Amino acid sequence: PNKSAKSPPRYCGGPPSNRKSQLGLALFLNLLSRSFGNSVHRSWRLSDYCSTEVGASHTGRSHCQSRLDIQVDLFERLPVPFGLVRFGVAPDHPEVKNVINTFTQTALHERCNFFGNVGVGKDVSVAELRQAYHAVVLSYGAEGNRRLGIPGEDLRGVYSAKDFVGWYNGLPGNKELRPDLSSETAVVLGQGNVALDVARILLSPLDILKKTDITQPSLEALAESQVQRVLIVGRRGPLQVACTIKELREMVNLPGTMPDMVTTDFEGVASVLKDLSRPRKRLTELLLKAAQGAASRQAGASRQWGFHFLRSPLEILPADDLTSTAGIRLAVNVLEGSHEGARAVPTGEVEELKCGMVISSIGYRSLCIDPAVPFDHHKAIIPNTVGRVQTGAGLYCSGWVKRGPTGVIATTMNDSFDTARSLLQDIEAGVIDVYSVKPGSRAVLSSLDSRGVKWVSFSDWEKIDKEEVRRGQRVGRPREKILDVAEMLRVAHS
Amino acid sequence: MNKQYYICVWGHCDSGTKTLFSFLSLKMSSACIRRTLVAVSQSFIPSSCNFLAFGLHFSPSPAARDRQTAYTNNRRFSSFTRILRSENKVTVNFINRDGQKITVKAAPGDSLLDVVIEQNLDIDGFGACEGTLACSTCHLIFEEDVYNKLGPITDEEMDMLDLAYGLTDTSRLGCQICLTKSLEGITVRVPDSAVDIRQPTDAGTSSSA
Repeated sequence: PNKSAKSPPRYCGGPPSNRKSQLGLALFLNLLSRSFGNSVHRSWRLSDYCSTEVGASHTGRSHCQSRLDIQVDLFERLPVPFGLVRFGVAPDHPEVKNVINTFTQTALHERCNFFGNVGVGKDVSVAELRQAYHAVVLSYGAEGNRRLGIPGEDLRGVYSAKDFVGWYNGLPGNKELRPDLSSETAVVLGQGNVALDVARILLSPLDILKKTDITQPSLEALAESQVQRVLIVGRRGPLQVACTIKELREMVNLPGTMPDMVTTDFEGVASVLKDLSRPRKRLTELLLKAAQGAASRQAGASRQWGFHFLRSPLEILPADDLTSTAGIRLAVNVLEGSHEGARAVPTGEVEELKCGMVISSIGYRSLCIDPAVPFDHHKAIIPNTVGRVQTGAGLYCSGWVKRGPTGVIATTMNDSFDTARSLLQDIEAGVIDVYSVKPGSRAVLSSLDSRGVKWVSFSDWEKIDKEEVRRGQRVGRPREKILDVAEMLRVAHS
Repeated sequence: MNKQYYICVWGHCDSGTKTLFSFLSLKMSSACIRRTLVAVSQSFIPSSCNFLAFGLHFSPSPAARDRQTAYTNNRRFSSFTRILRSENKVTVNFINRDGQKITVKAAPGDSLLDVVIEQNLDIDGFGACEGTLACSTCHLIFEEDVYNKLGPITDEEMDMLDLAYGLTDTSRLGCQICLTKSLEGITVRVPDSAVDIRQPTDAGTSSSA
């Protein structure tokens, strides 16, 4: 098929041919699986011909005597690859999406195959994959979200950040979200980077958004938005915010907006600055500056944003119609302990805020997609030891489903390298029997065909990609995402 | 993406003759441009000549240009000059994560990320965001005296460096450090990237980046 490498990889260690690079290949293939609620499973089928050496540049100094041409097949629930890089990264962060070029180079490697529109757990089971392949790696991310568990959570106007982000990023399942942007104040629960993304998209000038790959329906909805004020609410204090400085700086510099915070929340913070690690210190200094209003205030700033600390949600309050949101009741906290380990303890006091929209950004959550795979429902991860799942040889996990749903691309990438190392160690140690013959994709695809599943190849995705870029060019944007699986399939198989 | 580059190569030999070698209009990625110019210099220009290559980039379309200059603190240089005289190379040593030392020669003006990419060095996971200050995967550790000689660090670089695993007082991002003759012979260390399950993860960062 069309596996020609188009241009030399921009990313170090892309598909080369020497011994060390076979390890490199396996390691990089993990990158493709950082997924947003999609079932991406990587499976290795080792070729029938094993001879000579496997390099071991990353698994220590050991060498073993068999050269393996590792074949990697990726299974992805949606017709389109890339997971969170496509559906999670904010539209105004295009440079973060550059990593797609690297992933593409890997996917185009002759020993890598992509099969989209295949739901593992639905269209094919993990057990079938384990029969067809020497090893199966589960890296399907965190498709669900943590529930608030409070009254009013299901009122109109209350959304999970997962759904809201999915909406503006074109995740097919969130197409019909139609968030209610008609009230002046929106409350975001949570103070991580996702919360800041949501606040920033709600308050960004349209001039900025309309040059991004945000979806057209979202752009139109935001053009009509009445939201002027976003409160970013967290249980703990300024020293415990989970966001990082780049995202905070973007808020501070957001045109047409100004910070609006209560300086009493920052009492005592300035005096501990010198004891903080550099990253936390710089973040806290910037937060302090914003709160004190020393940060630049643009002329004509009509929109406001602010962090609201030491508040936990108790109840979302309905309006008179009993179906939409009118406000939120919050418990007032104090902190016990300090720094990262500080705990929020309710004081008994409550506070009510008027708002028409509540976006809950308290964390994603992995789901159990196949009952045959062990799952820790409390931590919402697949129990594992350095990526090895303890149900016999050949089952692994990596990424958010392995460690929990936090971390930037680099964190998850390095975690994937760890899982790849475990797998390669197991090959070297003979834990995975590379000499047994496995049918690989042949078996899986014939099952899929018999079940009427129309899988999508990487070159089919490239057709979808071209079409999205073409539609985007017509309106002066990088791409216009296709929002509908049926249409994706139509374009893919045209 | 590929940008339209207009290349002017101007040079003169030690004998004093000034010659305009060529004026080319090429559409390719910036990495390819550099590679092409390096290849041209190595094949066609005798070492007794000095020359300068200018590359200017014009965005082919408003959409691409706007995306490039869109609201972000990460502006990229859109033009570069390169001194391609073959003796004007700078030797750089990389100590890889496995302890292996890799010694290369690179052109002044190249960033350390450029060097790793162009010479296809075997460093896993290096340069994910392609030099746009949106990740920390080109994190390198310098010797103290070299670190003190490096150019100033911007807030944007520090913001990303703050997320790097194994941050030290002499850490910089490789995509922001451009080689000069004064950096001849330096040794940089590629820090460990492994996330050891016994260690706590980096402070609660979540998914947007």
